[in-house]
Amino acid sequence: MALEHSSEDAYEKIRMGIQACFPGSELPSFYQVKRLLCDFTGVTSIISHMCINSCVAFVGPHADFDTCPECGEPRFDQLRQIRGNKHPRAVFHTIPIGPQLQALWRHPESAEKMHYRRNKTQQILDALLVNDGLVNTYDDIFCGSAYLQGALDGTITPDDTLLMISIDGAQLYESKESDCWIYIWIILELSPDHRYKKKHVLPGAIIPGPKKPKFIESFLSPGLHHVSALQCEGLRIWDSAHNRDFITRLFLFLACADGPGLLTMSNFVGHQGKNGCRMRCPLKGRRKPGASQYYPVLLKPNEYDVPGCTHGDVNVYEIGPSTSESYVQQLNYLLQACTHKDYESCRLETGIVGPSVLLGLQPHLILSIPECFSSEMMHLSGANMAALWLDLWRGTIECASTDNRANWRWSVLREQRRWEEHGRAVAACKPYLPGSFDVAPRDPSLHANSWYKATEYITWIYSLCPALLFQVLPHDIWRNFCKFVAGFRIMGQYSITPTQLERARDFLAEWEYEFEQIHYQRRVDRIHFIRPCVHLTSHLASEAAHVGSPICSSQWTMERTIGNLGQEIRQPSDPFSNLAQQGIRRCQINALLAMYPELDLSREGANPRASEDLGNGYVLLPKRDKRPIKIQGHEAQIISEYMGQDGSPNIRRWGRLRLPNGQIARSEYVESQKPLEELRMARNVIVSD
Amino acid sequence: MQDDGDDLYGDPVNPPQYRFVDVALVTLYSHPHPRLFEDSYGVLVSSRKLGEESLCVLALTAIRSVVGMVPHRVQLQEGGMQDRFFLVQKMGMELAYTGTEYDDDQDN
Repeated sequence: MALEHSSEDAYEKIRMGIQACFPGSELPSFYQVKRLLCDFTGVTSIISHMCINSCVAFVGPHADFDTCPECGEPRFDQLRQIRGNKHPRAVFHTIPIGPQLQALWRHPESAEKMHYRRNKTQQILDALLVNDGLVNTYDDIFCGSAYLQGALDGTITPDDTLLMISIDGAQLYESKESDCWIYIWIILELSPDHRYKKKHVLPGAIIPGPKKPKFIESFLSPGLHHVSALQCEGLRIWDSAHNRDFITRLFLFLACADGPGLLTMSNFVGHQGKNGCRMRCPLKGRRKPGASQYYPVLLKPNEYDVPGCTHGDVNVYEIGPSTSESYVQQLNYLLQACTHKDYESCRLETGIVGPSVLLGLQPHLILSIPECFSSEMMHLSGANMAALWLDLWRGTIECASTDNRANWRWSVLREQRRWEEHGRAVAACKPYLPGSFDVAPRDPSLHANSWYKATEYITWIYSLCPALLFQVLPHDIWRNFCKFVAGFRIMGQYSITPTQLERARDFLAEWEYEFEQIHYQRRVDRIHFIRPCVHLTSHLASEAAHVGSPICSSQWTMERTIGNLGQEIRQPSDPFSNLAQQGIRRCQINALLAMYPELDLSREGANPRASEDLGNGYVLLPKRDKRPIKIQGHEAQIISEYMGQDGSPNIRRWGRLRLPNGQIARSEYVESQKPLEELRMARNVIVSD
Repeated sequence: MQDDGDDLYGDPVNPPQYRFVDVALVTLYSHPHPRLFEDSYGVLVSSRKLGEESLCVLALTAIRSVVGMVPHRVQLQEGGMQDRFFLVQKMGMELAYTGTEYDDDQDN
């Protein structure tokens, strides 16, 4: 297992080596180990055929097809078929979740972790009683009204297993050729500090590209079918911590994905539609005359008479997300359409294309539609909103023939010279951003579009730009941007108090109006400035009250899972099938570790050598002075005063300190030994009184 | 920040009447510039370094988190160009680095 990142070849060589030295020892071969893993854990994969162009999976209604209903490519290898055996040209693997869940209960240590939701629920309910029905902070999904309601009225029982599904497309290498789609399961029974870790995130299936799957639903089908079956029959669990046998029901609580990914699960019209809001709120979009795409514009444009869009200004406080009752009603309405024309007008009216694939699960065991579709904080902040700000500032947003870029006061980075200047300023911040902040943003004028990561965008736009664009953007526009950032930063916290949440809601609601007034100015030819993400932002606060802080249901984890799996690939020739193998192996190893936690060599808690544990999560780390030194002057005086002693104190300087939140602070003593360019400064700290 | 772990454990040369304390020597940043702070709805936290004069001693356990302080230069009405530092905190920090901070919460 230590060889997780090495090759099969390496394992065999080491095995030979050990056997040569200790002739009596019998180490299993690589193949045998694989078999053992599978037998021990019960985790294996379901193989399904798929179209060579990734159009559909040959499952469900397509199970008996011999050619792809989309592109007509044959399903089986033609040469071999002539010889009489049917060999699929492409397959993908689904890893059933049932055995993996069972494994998590098999060791008392792991099983104890699975009790988190139970304990947390009790805590929250206690707090509600004390605080007149308000939670202390929204710091987990279970603080949201959706869960609490379910827990109180018995739709969700303590024995259920709550799951979140997250789906995303991914690029493994820089080339387009490596596109693939992955979905993962996150087990909400575990506490947030465990559930998002590699060890507990369960890959559900890996759908190879390079082409984008046309019917993702069909690829989800084997996995969802498995879940649905378990929902019907119940999954037997032995809780080794309490030596108890019980039947658990899998409850799908949240589904998250970026815009297009979500559509595959929700089957809504998508954000260009008239009812394009993924929260299915009643806001009707507006479109330009003659165009088909709708935008969620609040303010009614001047001199505007496009039929169906002439409603007056919308009060953002009056629109909330829709409920499952109205979804069911509208879906029924849509399904009654008899002719295609009927259907099209129903679709326009309801914003629904067809039934969601999640309706295939047991309806009482999912959080209702559309409530379970979470707005995706990471894409919203890191991709969509970031792109909008940049398009505005750089003046790259489409300019109508009736408009003039010269009048865009916000396009302060339009000139190449100013853009490059800004880029250099961004890159110059790097040494001052601690390493714990992940990748520091690179110079965007050199690297934009090429693998600029979501975290880079987020740091750049939301952390650096308020300062870097101060006195660059006109003051009123800068303030409007800051208001957005203020609201967004609150929404990006892991733990949000009800008061903060209210502030964030007000910030974002006010921001949306002002943003429209400043940029779009009720001009028909600027309707396209108000992209769907502008509107989605206003839902963030109400959604947090509903399902907890957005970051808990965001796709941060997904990115890391892909990163990890990508790293484990050692056969670039056929990355996809290897990725699938890695995914399966990941699941097996995770299951094994849950059953035998003592096998986990990387377990937390071990401090490095020459460190000193101060308790409460504080650990001093090397390097340090070899022996105490005497100091003089101002510093000595202050230390003596602090200690209430006379004379110059002996001190021993330490280089680093690990904080309870996992960050490592460094002292000037070590940081001054490195040149600034090589530094990620970590000696600026916040202290409590 | 400078931290001084007065650690005299297991040091035979020094007799054990010495106390040892785990402290940090720090210098402070000023309060944020009030107008920048207000105009930006609290987003732009811009401070000056208070330098040697502000040197003080803290218990190590008073340190809460590591942040970025990035130099920037602003034109202020009250006094021309000024070199200052703005605060950068990471969004979603708590989850990206899952420590024991909220393990404690669970026990309450």
